[in-house]
Amino acid sequence: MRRRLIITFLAPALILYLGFVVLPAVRAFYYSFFQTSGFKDQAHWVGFGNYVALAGDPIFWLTVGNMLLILFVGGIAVFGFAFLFTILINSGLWGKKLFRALIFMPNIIAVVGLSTFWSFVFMPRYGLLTNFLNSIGLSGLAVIPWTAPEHLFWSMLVGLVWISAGFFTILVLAGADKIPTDMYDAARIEGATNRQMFRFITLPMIWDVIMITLILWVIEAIRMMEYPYAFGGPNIDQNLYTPAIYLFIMGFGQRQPVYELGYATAIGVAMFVFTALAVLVIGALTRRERVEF
Amino acid sequence: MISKAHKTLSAVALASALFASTTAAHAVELTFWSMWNEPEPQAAALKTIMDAYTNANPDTTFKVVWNGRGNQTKLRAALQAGTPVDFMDQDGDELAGGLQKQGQALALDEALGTDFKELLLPGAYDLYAKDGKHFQVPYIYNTVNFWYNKDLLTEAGATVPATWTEFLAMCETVKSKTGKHALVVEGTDAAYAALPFSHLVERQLGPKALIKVFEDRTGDSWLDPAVLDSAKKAVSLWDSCIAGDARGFQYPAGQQTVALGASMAELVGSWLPTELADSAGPDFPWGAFNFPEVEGGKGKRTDLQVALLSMVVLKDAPHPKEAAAFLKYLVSEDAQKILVEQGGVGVTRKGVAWPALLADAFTAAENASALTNIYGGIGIDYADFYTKTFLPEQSNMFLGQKSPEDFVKLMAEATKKYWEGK
Repeated sequence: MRRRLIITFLAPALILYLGFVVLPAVRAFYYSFFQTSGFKDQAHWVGFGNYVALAGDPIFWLTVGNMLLILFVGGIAVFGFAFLFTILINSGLWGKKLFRALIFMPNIIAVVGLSTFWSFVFMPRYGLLTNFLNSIGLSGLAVIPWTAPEHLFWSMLVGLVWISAGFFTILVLAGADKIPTDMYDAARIEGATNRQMFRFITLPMIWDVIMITLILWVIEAIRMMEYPYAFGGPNIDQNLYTPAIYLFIMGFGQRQPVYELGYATAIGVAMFVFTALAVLVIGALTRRERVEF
Repeated sequence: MISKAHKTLSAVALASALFASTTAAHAVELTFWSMWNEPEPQAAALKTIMDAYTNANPDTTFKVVWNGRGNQTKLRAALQAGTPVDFMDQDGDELAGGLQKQGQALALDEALGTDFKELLLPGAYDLYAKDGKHFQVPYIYNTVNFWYNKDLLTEAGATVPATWTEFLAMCETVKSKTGKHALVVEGTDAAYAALPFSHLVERQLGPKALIKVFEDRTGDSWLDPAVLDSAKKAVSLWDSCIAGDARGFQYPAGQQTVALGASMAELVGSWLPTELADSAGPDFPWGAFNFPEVEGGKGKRTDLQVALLSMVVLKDAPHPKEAAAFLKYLVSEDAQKILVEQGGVGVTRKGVAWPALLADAFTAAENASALTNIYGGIGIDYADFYTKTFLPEQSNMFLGQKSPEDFVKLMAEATKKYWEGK
């Protein structure tokens, strides 16, 4: 009876999940072995042809390079800020809730709005950064076109870190808030500094939170699309391509009628493999005894 | 026994039923998937046109899905799902490389008749034809010209240039007399950045030259001195015509400098005055002139790059004849005038004047000696090469990250490799 009840309650969610998530994902693997435009044309079986082409496609590897830069350089900056904000906010700073809200603020603004803001910050001639640098006498730096191709990716990354740091700060803070305060009190009595308290109390006790946030960041970095795409504008510069943007351009005929759906699906499968590998690696690297409290 | 009155009533009822069934059999609801968003003026104009058509043909009504610019991609999924659609619209080049290339568009030659092309501005109907068959009805016309501030040109004491030499001289004059740059570009927009080079190749080697260069499977046509010279000329625009910081302008930062009066012109489509309507204001002194001739080149100053917007009838449309009949009406004088007045756009019908802001573009379209699709047309049949290789590499060259010599060499090798794989 109980078993039947569980099945009855689970069935709708399970059917929806299987039908709208699992089945399309499995179909994606299948489609990646075909050459098709998706326009009711006859799909041609190419076996691993799309993957072979992908392996020899310099643009795909450029996107992987950008993905890795976002993952590692962006990740170090995002988690650096997240930990820094956590230390500062938990150091007895006045207005903790206000700062927490301010740090999280970018996450409630539409990505297009944020990208427009950062485009304006870096805009040559009229941008905020140019005017600021001029106002403090650094005219040599002010003339640098920060959104020219050679700087474009890094300008985008600055905005991305700013947006993401708030979200991950909140996650780390939520974990840190669960730590009993008497541990910090005891540490303070023993003369521990904020840094020592963070290293020897906060970090070990929120290790499981850190692992989850790391996995979230990896997934976010690998499927990164909205912000760089919005930042790049209608005919996005290749310097900003990520695998997801490349997938979109190859499969969905944006601006140019490229409709290589099979190839685009192969990119999607490659992204899935990257994600799975990265999650396994993180799991292996961060495995340690769990602290119960 | 049946009474006479009863018989009469029965006869009337039967006649009514027959009439109703006949009417129902002729009543057609055409399904139209549109590239416009419903609040846009072009959508309002199309609604007016469809209403007028229904008034004249009460049996024909319309069901419209306003999809916005991703229309063709959304339609792809709908076709897979078996959704019936009669006709749709999109940029002509996207349709030619999409639905039309994939065999999903209906050939309209029979339905529209042989004289149809005479109704449209020169070259418009044939631009996207394939093997002599026409699959599209272009109904909105965008030209590519230098869109400029007439007051700034007058202030500089310069005139509209006819040749490349005159063009460079105009840049110098504008800069020295007004302290402003004659041109601006959207530095990081790879497609806009391809406009100077693609025009220069066509002015040197003739209309559609860029496609011909690419279709040389050996790749050697890229090494033609005229192609290299075009690349060098495009890069030379940074010497006196364009401000260096424009390398970093992200769309629409560049065009805003025209509206602000900080730059004089931009090489772009005739949608610019509409896009800048709010920031430039209603009294902005817009003018447009064609890309100049290159001395000794085969291309003419009157050759135009254009971006036409077209309608297509789907191959599996439930009502192909009725849809084609409506498309014929769409390019009638009455309907095209509605598009001009209500939609504020240039149109394809001969003799229908465009909005006053676009007067120079209308003249250019009326006098066009040859048409090429915007950016040189490679993007239609070779969209993958165009997107993955040509646009980014051209952009690298134009923005100074690669020399013109390296660019043509790279394109020669990439073209050869592309064709080897086909």
